Amino acid sequence: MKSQKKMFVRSPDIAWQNVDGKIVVVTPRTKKIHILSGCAISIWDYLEQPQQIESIVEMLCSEYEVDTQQAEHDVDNFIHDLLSKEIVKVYNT
Amino acid sequence: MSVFVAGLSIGGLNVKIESSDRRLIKLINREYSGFLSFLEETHFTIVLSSDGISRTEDEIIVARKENGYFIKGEGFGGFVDIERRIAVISIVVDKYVVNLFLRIFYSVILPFYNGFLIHSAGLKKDNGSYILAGHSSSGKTTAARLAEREFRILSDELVIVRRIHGIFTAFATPFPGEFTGYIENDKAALKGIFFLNKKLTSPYAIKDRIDSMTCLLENIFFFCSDSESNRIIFNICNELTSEFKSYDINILYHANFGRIIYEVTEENVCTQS
Repeated sequence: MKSQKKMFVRSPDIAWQNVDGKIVVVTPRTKKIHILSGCAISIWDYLEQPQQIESIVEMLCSEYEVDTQQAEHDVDNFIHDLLSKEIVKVYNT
Repeated sequence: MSVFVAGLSIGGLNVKIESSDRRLIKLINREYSGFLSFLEETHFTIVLSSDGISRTEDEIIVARKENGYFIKGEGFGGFVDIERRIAVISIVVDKYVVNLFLRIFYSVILPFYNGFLIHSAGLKKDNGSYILAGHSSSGKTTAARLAEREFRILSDELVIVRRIHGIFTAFATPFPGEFTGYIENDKAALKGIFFLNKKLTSPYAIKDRIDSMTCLLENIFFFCSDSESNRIIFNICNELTSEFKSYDINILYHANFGRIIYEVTEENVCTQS
């Protein structure tokens, strides 16, 4: 997986808040509102610090009963979805 | 060189406008006659100049820069210093450009006064106000026209909502849509939040909090590319949705939607202290 070694972190431009157990995110440039729920919230919490996909998968597998291969696939898709929506960015040291 | 001065009061914020170009001050006195103010307390000063600026088709840019915001739009540009409460702006002498600038200017400063500008019709009755939020073509002007006999109209396009001493208040604005009736510089404590929904198959329907929050944010007039300001707006929306129930409303479903607005909000006692 190409993005395995890249690190990802929440975009600094977004505004977000936990509302009734769901994460509501605004991306100012696109003026879009996004709602995160379920295990996406665990990933969101984890992305407060820069993370590799590998470490997110490890975290998910330790918190939820999920198949590692399936988790890798789902996390990769999810992170790229967040990237395309400008909710996260690639972390450059 | 002579300096000419006008005073604006919009959203409870007194803004002193200075310019050496008399045409700009005349334009403001003419176009915003209902919102002029010469109160002693000034929240912000805008220094306008028409030198070296032409009308271009620039995208609106608002970027955080040190203690304020660099702003640029179609026919205006300059710096809004939030810390010193002064904006220095070059602007074309044109009522549409000035109007757009003022909309952007208020969007930029309002979060620092616990408020925001929202796409919404605003109605006032018995010292209470009601906002009917919705995007373009959602029926804001229609709502204002239908409600005109029963309510005082705060706007058919953009309303300012601010939290002042713990009370959410809706303010009239001089930024109308197509409503041609009289809009007075008025305000009232917020009593109800409604979202215009033409597809609703009942007169009204309560919204859950997430949905309400999403709809509020979607109708905010302008977001800066600045996390501090956006977090403040987010917090205000969060407080609003925790203190008020909100509803979808179909204004064409019932012959008297004004009565529905009034009754629904009276039935559901809001928790605002």
